[in-house]
Amino acid sequence: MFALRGVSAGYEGTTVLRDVDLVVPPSSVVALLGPNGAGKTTLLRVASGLLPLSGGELLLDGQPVTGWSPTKLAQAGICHIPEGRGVFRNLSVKDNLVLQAAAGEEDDAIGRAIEAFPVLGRRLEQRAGTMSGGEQQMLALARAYVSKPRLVLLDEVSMGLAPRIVDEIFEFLRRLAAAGTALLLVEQYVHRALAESDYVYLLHRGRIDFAGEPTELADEEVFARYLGAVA
Amino acid sequence: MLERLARALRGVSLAMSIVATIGILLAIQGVAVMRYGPRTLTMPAYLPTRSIRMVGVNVGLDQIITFLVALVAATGLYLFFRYSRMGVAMRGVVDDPDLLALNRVSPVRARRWAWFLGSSFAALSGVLIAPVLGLEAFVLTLLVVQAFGAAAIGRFSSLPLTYLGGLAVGVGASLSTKFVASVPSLRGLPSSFPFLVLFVTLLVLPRRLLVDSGAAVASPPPHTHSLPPRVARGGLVLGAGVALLVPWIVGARLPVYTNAVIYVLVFLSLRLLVRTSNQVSLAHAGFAAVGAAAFAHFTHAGLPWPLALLAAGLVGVPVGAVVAIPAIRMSGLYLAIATFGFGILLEQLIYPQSFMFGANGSLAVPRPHVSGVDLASDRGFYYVALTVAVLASVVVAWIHRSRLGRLLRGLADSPTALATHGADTKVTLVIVFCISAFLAALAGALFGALTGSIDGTPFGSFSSIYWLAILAVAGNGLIAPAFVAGIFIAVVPAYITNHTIIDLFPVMFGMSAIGNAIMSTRGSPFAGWLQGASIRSAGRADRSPVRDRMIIQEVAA
Amino acid sequence: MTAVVAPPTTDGLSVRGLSVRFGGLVAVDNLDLDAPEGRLTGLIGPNGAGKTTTFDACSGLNTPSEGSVHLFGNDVSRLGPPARAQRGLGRTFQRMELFNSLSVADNVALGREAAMAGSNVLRQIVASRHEQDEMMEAAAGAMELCGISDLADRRASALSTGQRRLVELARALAGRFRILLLDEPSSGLDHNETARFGDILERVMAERGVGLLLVEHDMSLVMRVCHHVYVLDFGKLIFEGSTDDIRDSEIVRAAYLGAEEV
Repeated sequence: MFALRGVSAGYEGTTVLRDVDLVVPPSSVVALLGPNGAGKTTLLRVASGLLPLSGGELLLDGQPVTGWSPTKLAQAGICHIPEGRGVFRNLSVKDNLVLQAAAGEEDDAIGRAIEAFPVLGRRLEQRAGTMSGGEQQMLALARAYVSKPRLVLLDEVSMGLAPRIVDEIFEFLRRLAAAGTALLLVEQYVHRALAESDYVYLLHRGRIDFAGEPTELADEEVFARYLGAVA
Repeated sequence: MLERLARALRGVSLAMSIVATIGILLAIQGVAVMRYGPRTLTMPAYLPTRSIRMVGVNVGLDQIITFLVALVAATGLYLFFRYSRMGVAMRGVVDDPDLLALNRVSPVRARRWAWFLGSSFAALSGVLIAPVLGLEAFVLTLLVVQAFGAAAIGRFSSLPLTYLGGLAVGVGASLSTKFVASVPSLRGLPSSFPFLVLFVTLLVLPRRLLVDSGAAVASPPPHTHSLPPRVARGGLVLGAGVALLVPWIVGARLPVYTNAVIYVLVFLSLRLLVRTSNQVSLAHAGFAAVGAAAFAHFTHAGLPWPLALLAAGLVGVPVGAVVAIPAIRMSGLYLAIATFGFGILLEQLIYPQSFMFGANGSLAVPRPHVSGVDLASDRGFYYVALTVAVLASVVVAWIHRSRLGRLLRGLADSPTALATHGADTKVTLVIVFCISAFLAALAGALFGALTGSIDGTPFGSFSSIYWLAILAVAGNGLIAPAFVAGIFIAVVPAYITNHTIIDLFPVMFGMSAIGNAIMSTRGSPFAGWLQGASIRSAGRADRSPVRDRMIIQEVAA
Repeated sequence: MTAVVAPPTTDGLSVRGLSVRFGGLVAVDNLDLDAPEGRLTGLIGPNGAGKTTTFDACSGLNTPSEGSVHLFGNDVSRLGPPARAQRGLGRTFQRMELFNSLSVADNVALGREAAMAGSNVLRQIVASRHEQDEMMEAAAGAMELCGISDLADRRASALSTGQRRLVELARALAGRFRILLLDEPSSGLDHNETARFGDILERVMAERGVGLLLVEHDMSLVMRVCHHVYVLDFGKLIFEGSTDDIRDSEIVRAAYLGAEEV
């Protein structure tokens, strides 16, 4: 459904991604793993249109969408939850939800968000930036539900969160996947990511090192790659 | 249109984005002046002027209507920002434009709305104010700066607080009128009150509110292209020859050239601050005014002419140090506003004082007298000014090659790195502002001596803006642009008799300042063309004394 | 029961009971850490664990809510960044803070010159001949050590990421600091460049005997060069020990890979 074909990209003269091929089939969960600096965040930014490609193409349902603006890609159903907290810190929770919703569906959106994360209901008037990290992440994730996307790109959504909250977030992702939303998951909790995913890609220094099913990938091998024992 | 411009300016260095803003201001003002002339257009009072008595005070009906319209507008704006989708999006775009795009709202559209709304409200306030103040481009611009005071009280984010801030500033200014009646020396207070509020509020606001969000973006370095040495040396000789011969060529227009030579000091001073150190000062006219006044007093007190000149420059130093305080706390646009506010404060509160330009608002200023040598004639004085300008150029060139020069360029690129390597950047900032103020004060003193008497008019706070814009257009070198800018501002208008063209000048400078700022990210095509003449230096940094010495050491070893 | 905390070390950098809060977020939580001279100390942990925040607290770029920072036995918690640098603490930045419009030679020389300038007005303006020589020597030595002497005339902004990382290291080395904080020096480098960077770090240790505190994501580099490693997670110290201990530690494995599904 969504594919990167031969994609290269980078910032100001430094190439971060080199000739990357990656496919997210409909209604599937794909994990993208790799040590820091491998280019995972860059790949997601390319996929959502925030970063232009220097080579290759993006395909959505077989049609080229290379060069589309992030707004247009988002309207086509690609929802990117960026690294860090993807919320407007200076806006209230309610205002954040208003922006997540499609025009005219604001009230419905707020209802759905509270249904997904009840804690948000008690915070509606609070400024998003003053909530705890976990609550901010839930607010950011609410968009993946509220805006009814076809594909969600998740960048380290568990980063810096307590295990209990990470559990809750993964439970949410599981429900999302069960409802047929495709997920592309960048995650540092390798075990959790492998447990949830149908396909795995390993990215190392901007190249795809491994592509296959989670069962093909031994635990020790992943750990070794992370710790750099295997170059 | 402005939205497009704003987008083009993203990623431009802070000083250059200020320059571009100023360019826009000058261009629009220039067009307004051309269209309507510099005089004040009076607008018929279109609201009923009958007054009614309220709580013992006579209040005009028009004032009440104005008050209500403002209140309704502010409330409407408040509701719009709070409840409408676009209003929320406009607040979101400030927070994180990329995230807004991911939320399926185009940040471009949100910004366009912001500009549209901003311009409409500005127009509305213009219509409301016109009957009270009259229509004059300069006055209305000042008004905008005043409004920043109210916005600062609202911490640049809270609308109700801003509204209250605006009221407080207005009421405060009126109350000060009463207070001033008993203290005549403060008669400038009411009109400068908003600027006082602005300056003080900016100084006490928490620092984190005053860091431009743009500051986090690493700005590409300005491309300074050095000429091939032979061209530079040839140019220097030619320039020096022309400069020495000027008095024998230009005839009666000589004072114009003297004026240009004096302006060289101003532009050198700005060059050091803006280009070298990436700081901004819109208080330079104030520095010059202080220097001029001090010089007049010192010569009257019997100080020898050269000593008085030096002392006048030194008087500028503490004023520069005061302006360095906001520079330590803030950067970019906020610094520009604060220094501009300070400049206006000087103009309105300090210029009228008798210790500035005397009780009559004007002081006589002598030219130097040395028996046997003609220094006081136009020709003699031209050489005096030229000597000072050349000396100042040498000093600035020396500073650039000295440790201070390296620290300043480091300061422009990364103050954090400088501080974590042990240099106290607060001290560096104070030094550069002091030197800059010293040079500007010297220029002020020489202006006085050129015209023979001095008052506050040539040092209006808008001159600072004009100067900065011209500097931006004059080129990328170190010394030469100061001379080019001096000729631009003083000589060229003297040869153009057509008034329309002279009126066009600010517009042209404004436009080219914008263009130059945008180009600063890419390197200007003209400079690129010059660069082509010396492929040898392509990709190389300016030749530095550090490197020279290293080569010497290597050879010796 | 209160934990026994060792007194601050007198031969390098010591952090005691450090906590840094941003609003409601606790970025660093009651951290104790030592980076003495002559040791290459690693500081690792998942993204957002608080490593750069710890660096900023050490060099005086943020305000800790609790705790103290000591340099060679002196409490420097109340000093600004320049004063800490004057006392021997240098650093590099994850998002390199180079002087982009200056040449490489000037960048490196400024590393020494900034310290000479300090907060003295006169010394900020002029350099004595003696200082000039010392500065040149320091810069030449540092560029030599980092293998960038041939780049001396190039403008810093015109270099590749790998070269820029080396310039930043050389600038810090020219500063003759006794303790250096290096923030992710290998990010943006390719395999060969990272390996070369490791060589340079080892040479620096051998020739200068300084103390290095290294925040790094490339574990191969950490495993290769570090003598002692601290592991942060959620701002808390979860482990400290030798690189061999790290390899065997279940806690570290859990922090990096996530706990097994329960």
